[in-house]
Amino acid sequence: MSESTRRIDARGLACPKPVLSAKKALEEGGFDRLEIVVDNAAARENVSRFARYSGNEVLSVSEEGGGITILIGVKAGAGAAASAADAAAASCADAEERSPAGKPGAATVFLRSARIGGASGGGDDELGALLMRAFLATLSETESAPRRLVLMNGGVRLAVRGAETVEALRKLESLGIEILACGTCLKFFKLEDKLAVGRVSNMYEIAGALLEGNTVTV
Amino acid sequence: MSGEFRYLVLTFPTTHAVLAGERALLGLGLDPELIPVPGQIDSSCGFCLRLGVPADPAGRERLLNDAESLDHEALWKIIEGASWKERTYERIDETDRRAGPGLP
Repeated sequence: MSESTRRIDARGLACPKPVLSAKKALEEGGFDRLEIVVDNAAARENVSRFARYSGNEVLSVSEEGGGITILIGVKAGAGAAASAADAAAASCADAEERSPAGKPGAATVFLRSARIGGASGGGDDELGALLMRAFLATLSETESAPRRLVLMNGGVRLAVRGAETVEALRKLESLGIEILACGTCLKFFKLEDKLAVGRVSNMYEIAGALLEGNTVTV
Repeated sequence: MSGEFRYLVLTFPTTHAVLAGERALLGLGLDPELIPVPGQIDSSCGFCLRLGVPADPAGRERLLNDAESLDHEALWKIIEGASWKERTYERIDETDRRAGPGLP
């Protein structure tokens, strides 16, 4: 018997609506997999958390073209767990409060190198790498945390497997800070299959993000 | 003074000592995180290392011994508050070595 999949497009929906639509679908039932598309990191976290708490399984999370697709495997016996949905909904206000991404006017940080300064500017490369690590470790603990980081040129190296900065970036992403990595740059460095955090973006989206205003170039 | 702490901060005299300390701790299988020195702490160097503290007393003793064997300046425990703004730091002393983390 082939597995049936129900699809929901929750892009453009404000928190907690993506979770509530997942809950409604699970209550109705009649399918083996639920595929839900969202457009921001906070919704991805909320929906994934809800799926796990309600006893179902997150099979995959993939990001492509501005959409994040969460594939949920429906477990027999698992319900829509109203309490889990309520908890997810309740955490929305909190998440939005905490999430810099939810704050209009929060800055976009443009990182064009894996270091803050270096030998080419009369500084030191090793110090530049340390400064970048310390900078990223501190970003979530400032009065004005950014809404997103844009990584271009050598900056994409910060987000690839094995980089010392991946954990710090993951922490930022879990707080709702969006991380965009230039796809052309990843390809240029032959790192396109090594992105460990954030999502691949393109010049249209990046130019739009940078021109939105309040961009800080590091 | 003893209190609940899950993380400690290790300060160093120089940036090079931080890097050597980080390498040594990684070599011991620990997972240090490079952070800027928090404003409430005095240190000769602007970088320091944050380390998770094991819950079991033996693991903690081992961690403190490992940390103290490095060319470091001081060991601080992080007292978490409701948010990062309310976080405070205290120098680690003998009482902390004896008490288990999480004990009042």
